[in-house]
Amino acid sequence: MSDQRRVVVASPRTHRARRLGDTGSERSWSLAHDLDEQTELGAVYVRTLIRAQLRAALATLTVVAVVIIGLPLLLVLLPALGRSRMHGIPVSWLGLALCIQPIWIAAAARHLRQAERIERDFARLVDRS
Amino acid sequence: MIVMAVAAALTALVAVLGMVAVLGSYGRRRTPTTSDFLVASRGVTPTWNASAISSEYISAAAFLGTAGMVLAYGADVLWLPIGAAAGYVLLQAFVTAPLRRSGAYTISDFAEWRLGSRAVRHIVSVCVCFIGWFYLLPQFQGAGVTLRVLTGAPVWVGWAVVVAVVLAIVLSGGMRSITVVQGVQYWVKLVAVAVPAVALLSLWHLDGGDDPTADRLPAFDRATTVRVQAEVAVRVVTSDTVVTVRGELDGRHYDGADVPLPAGRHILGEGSTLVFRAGTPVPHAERLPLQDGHTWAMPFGRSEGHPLFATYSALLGVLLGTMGLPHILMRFYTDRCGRAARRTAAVVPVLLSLFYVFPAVYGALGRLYTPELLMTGDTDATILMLPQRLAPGAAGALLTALVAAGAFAAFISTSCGIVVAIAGTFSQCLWRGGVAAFRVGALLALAVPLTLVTRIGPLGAASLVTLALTVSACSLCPLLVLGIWWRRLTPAGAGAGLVVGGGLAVAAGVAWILGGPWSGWTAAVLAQPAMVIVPIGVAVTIIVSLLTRRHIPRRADRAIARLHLPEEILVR
Repeated sequence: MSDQRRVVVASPRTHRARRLGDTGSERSWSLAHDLDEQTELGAVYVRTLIRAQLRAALATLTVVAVVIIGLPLLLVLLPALGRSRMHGIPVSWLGLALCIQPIWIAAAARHLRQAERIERDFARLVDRS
Repeated sequence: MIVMAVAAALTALVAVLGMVAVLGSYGRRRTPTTSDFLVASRGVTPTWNASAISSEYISAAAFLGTAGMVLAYGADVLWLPIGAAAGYVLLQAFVTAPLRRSGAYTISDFAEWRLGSRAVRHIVSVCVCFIGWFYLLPQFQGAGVTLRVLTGAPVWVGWAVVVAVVLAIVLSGGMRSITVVQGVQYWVKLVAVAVPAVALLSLWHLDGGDDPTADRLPAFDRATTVRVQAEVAVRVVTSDTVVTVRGELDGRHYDGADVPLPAGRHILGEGSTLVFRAGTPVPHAERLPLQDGHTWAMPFGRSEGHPLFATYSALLGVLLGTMGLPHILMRFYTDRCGRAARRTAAVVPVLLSLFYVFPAVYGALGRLYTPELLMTGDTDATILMLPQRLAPGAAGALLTALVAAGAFAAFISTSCGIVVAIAGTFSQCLWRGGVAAFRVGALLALAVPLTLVTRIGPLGAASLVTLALTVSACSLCPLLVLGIWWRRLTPAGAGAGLVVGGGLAVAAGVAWILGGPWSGWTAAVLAQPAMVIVPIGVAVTIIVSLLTRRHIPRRADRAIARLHLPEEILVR
């Protein structure tokens, strides 16, 4: 019993990472190497990341496109909307000058959160492997 | 009153120049290197950089032109700010972070790095120069109009001021001092547009609050003296217009006689003075639409042309054009990392929407208080004239000074950004960098539009900016988006797309401005060609890339990975 050593069972990558110490830059170096050397593994990682980012970007594009295509159509199909007024100010002016921009601000904020989450998740995924 | 306005305008000019000088010297303390010149050493926070970007985007065309276009065209103009802010949302989603991670200085560098082709680099540089020059022209015009309207100085004084100030800033401190100057100038412009707008709205309310959307043509609400500063052809609709003329009218000289103006076309000579009685409907310059308040206030109120196509095409042009503007894209290189660049782009729509609330207010008040601009065609002056009209005396002069400061800030900031973009592209492209090359580039960037501005005539600033945005939407925007997201883009595909898209856009713009008159669908497409040309450009890029798929750059995979991987993960 005494001459038996405890053996840590882990992937070679983890071994190496532990040997290198806990500083972030050193630990991520092996992965950077993987990605940089264009190994199959690196390529898979990168593809996942790009797909996720592209999905988020296309979702934002859909929001923008729906508003930009829908709004003029709405005003053309419902001319009454263009004529109606609130406190003497045409509703269409209030809508165009004040109500659309908040949609953009919200869309930008949402995309920012999403894109940063994707990057954080990716970093975590990379750390684990 | 006029003396006070002149004094106010000059004070504003001196104040803005003083601010620029002080802030500029702050950035000049160290000996600059090329990297300082181009990207301010990448030490700028996202909010500060977002102010600088918004400031660069709010050009003379936005500050003066938007209000003027609302006055002339009405509700249909309100789409443009919407398209601009949406452009930044998509810019954030598709471009900023990867572009920053590419680590390239200018958009030409990006193209060369991604595709590994000097030829594509040169084509991109040509696009950058064209867009920049089209964008600088309206800045010169805006400066000329502002000084002429406020002080009566000849237009070249405004041009000279812009050239001198921009050269001084760009040559002394490069982008570092410009980032500081730009950031502050956004807030100057916001105050300059917001405070007078609120003051004028309250004055309008006290004045009885006439409705600009009432069902009648714009009319002089009191006896008004109009000085015609450039010859203009006008349309008169009512038959009982009588006007007191001093100067040329329809080729005849009058010396203060009362002249009846029958309905139809009339030519007002340069330098003549006309006195209109209260209640007279305003004759309209020929190129501006004649609309009563109802039509003016209704989106798609005018039935002529193809309004839905025009709106969609204009929106697409502004949206994609905003994504490809080289002087804006260059700003993102000043951010520390891709994430900071993304945050910067997310703040910009907030700042732009704050600003864009106000031009519509000026446009609407202009229908009531400065309707003669519809006759002289100087609609860009709306925002400058309103304070004096609504508040004669010291208060009006103070507001005029504020607005004038905003206008000066507008053309100085945008011009600086464009000159830096062109000069950077030039120096990197032709001489491989260096401060001396950058300075030569700056001189060239200013010289070309300066020689053109004398020949271009009284075109609205907005139409030239539209041209610049369309060229950018058809050339640089597809290149960026496909270059970042599509691995199989080849140098031949990118080059073909740039040449076809950019070339068609420039051709359409030149045909629209110099040719004509056009009618029907030809006119609709030439005026707003983005909807037609963007799909053509993208299709050419993709088809040629697929045909030349053996020439996909060997570095494509690695380049795409570098664009999308966060910096902290990729060490090398």
